Amino acid sequence: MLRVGVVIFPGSNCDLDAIRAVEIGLRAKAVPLWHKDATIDTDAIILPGGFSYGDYLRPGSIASHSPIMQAVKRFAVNGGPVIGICNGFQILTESGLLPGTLLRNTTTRFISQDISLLVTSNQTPFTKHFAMGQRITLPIAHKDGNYQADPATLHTLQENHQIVFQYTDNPNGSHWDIAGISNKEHNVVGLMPHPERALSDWIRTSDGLQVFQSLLAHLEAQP
Amino acid sequence: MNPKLLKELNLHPSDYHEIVRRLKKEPKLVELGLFSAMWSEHCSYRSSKRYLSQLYTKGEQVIEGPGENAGVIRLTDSLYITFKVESHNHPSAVEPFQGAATGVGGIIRDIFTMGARPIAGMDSLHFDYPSSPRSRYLLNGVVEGISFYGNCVGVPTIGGETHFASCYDENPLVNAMVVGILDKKNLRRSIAKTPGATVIYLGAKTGRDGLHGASFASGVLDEDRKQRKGSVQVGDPFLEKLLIEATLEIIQEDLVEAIQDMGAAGITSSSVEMAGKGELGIRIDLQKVPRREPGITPIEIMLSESQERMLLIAKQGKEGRIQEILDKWELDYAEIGVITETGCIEIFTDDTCHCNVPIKLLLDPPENTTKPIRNPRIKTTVPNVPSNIPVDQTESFLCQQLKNPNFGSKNWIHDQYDSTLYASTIEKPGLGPSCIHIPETDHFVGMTLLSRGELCSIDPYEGAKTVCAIAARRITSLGLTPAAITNCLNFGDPTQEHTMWEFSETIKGMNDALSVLKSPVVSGNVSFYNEGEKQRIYPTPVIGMIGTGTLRTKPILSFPKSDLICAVVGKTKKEYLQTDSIPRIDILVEKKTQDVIREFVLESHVSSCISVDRGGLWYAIVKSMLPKHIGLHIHKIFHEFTPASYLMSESNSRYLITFPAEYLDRIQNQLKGVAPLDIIGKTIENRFIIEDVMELSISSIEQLHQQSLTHYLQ
Repeated sequence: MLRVGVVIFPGSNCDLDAIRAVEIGLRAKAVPLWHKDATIDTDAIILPGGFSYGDYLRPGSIASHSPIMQAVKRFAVNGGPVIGICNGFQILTESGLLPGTLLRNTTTRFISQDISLLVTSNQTPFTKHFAMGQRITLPIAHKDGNYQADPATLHTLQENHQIVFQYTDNPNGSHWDIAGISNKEHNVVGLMPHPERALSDWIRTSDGLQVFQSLLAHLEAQP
Repeated sequence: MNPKLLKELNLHPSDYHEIVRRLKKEPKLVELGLFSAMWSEHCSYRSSKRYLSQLYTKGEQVIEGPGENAGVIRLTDSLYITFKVESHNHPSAVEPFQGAATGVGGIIRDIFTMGARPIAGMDSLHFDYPSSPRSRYLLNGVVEGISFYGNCVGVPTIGGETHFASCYDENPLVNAMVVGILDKKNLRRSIAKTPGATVIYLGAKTGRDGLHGASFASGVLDEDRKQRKGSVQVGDPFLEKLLIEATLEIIQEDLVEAIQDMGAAGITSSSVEMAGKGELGIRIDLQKVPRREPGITPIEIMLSESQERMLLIAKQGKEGRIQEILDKWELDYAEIGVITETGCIEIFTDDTCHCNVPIKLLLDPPENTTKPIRNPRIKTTVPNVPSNIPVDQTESFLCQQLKNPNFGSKNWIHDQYDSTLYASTIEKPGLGPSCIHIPETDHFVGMTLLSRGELCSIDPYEGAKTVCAIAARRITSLGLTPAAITNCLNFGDPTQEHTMWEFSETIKGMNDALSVLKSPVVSGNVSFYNEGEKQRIYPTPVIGMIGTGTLRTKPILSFPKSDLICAVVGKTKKEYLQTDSIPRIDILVEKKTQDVIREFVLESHVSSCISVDRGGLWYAIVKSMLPKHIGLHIHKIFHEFTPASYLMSESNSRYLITFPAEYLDRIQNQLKGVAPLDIIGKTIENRFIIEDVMELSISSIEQLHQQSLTHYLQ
């Protein structure tokens, strides 16, 4: 059975949703990984949202120095699929696995809304199932989701198809309406919206399901 | 005795004499401190106890009624729901951000203490009109505080209410409700069982913050008290998150025999109450209590209200495993005492005894015997709703209503709260009742938190009945069945006869409604002294109702599509909120109508269903139109009403429903003998039309609705 690691830091609070997403969306085994673990033995990794270490210093900053992140870096360098959602995205930029940075929303307030996104790259393991330009709805819930990078970085992102999700109605001031990006190799993805909160027809949107189904297809295609 | 000390402790001289009489000696300083906290209105319910004991609290769904940290009801054979509402009015009046934040933190602790994971929160907030700068300051601070704490600790805030009236100028109300879910085997109580058991302190270190918080909330807020910012605690949601995970792990491994959070009056109330409920004693060694700073005195340790602390009584031999779990979460662990057979609370530093008093005495203060008598000279002012609005003023009147922040959009507030964590919130907040899906089951939990202070101020009995009826009406619109309630009773000074009259009428009204609606009270909180030097608040009972049930399709409150018949269920009468009268409520009609409406929703005979309450039909229509921009063409003949006075009627027991034409006969038949069906029009795209009277686009309605609050805040 496929195994997907869900990293738990002190203060993570979307870990239970991520675990459920692995079980429902991937029908895989969710493996909780503790922030002090130094090794990883799973097929993919989710860095869930929340307030790791209480967002002290900067969101994601302290978590990026934890033992598990050294292991995540090795896993990513070897091509393993990694997705960071919300605080997980902040941890990925803080640890240098993804370029750019996430600043305070331009409204300076926390924003919790269901928002509309365009999928702008389906070259990642997490977006294979989407059509290019597909419009989806996912919830956002963050105070620091304003993606900023210098112009050269933004152009590189564009050229390499690393811009994965863009807002249709920018809520937080992000450069180029960026909601999610990948690394150059496309195996590491970070996004502010929450696909793991959008899995069931009972609630407002189930568009997040395709993120996990894409990952499933990707993992099953691996030798 | 030193009168200055008594004032500092907010202890009345007559109480002091009673303490001396009962102890048959002068109390030591720490003993006096314990009495001041435990006999405070906040901890002891000395004014309200006799009324609360009359509440309707029984039901076969009830697992744990009032008296525990939170009430518990059965959801399925293996799952329970626990919930409670609590006030943090006085701290929020002085320091809105921390007052609200720690209010949320406190009520969350009440929930996980029961062994439950907190899964949803709601807030009931009352302020002066936002045209007042102080009101805006309080609103901003309170909303930011709730957002800061709730989002970080990981409890989604999925609804609630915010109201504005000038009587809340000096005393804003900040009431927070939290709902938790638990496996029935994890239910824990706060009753000490075994003499010799170790008492363990966990969580944050004890500091000087929140000193005398319980007695602070037990007096009128005057200038002197407003200076007491030191009485307001400081919250750390990150620490609370660790405490939730550690506590739930400890409970799941069955390591404790009793557990309680340290809320008002900190170590004092948690130790006294746990030992007292088990008719046992407790011995505490203050040397062992983790402290934030040196030099804290024994009385300060005992009365500190530092946040994010818990007291638990270990099962024998399990102390080591508890310590391991706390080490994992990097939380303070200290064995500070032991359960005894003495029936007394003994407090030591090494060999020095600071306190040795029978717990019975601490838990049994003299009752406040103020008689409940109406004072006819106390007049209340409410914004009157005009009963006859001329036809040519229909549009301007209805638009004016949209600009009223009491009726307008609260998205500015809701959008600052994480409402989608746990992936089970059916709709975003703002439509009235909230509903969550319990994953992996076909069970749903509906919840609503509401009040109608202005009705209660005119007639507290009918007002309280109406609030309970509205709560059940909202739950019914989801297709769910009212299961139980929690209440937060916000009132003025309990030493005033008029306040106690309002209070006793409220209790009667709630009982008369809840016994018919089969919705017992399982938890609650009383907040007196919401009275400033110039103003007293409306008597404001806040009701939090939980509904349960299974659904085959998702409940739909707003208009889903055009070309549906739109109708009002229930009789619309010329009833409006006025200074001398409020809309009548017939609770039997309410119940009968609810039972039919629930069938409609469950059998999918209706395409949408929303209950009609504050703001009448007009507000129900507005809420129904906005989500999908599906409008309404009203072609009804209004008979004795003008159009706007029809739409503004606040008659009770009504719903706004839509359905396809083919269901008309069936719906009419089922309503026979229960409630009239008044067909008012058809749903249409993008517009609101009253035939021959007015026409507006939904986007213009939406704009007015959105700006009603935000235009004050920008």
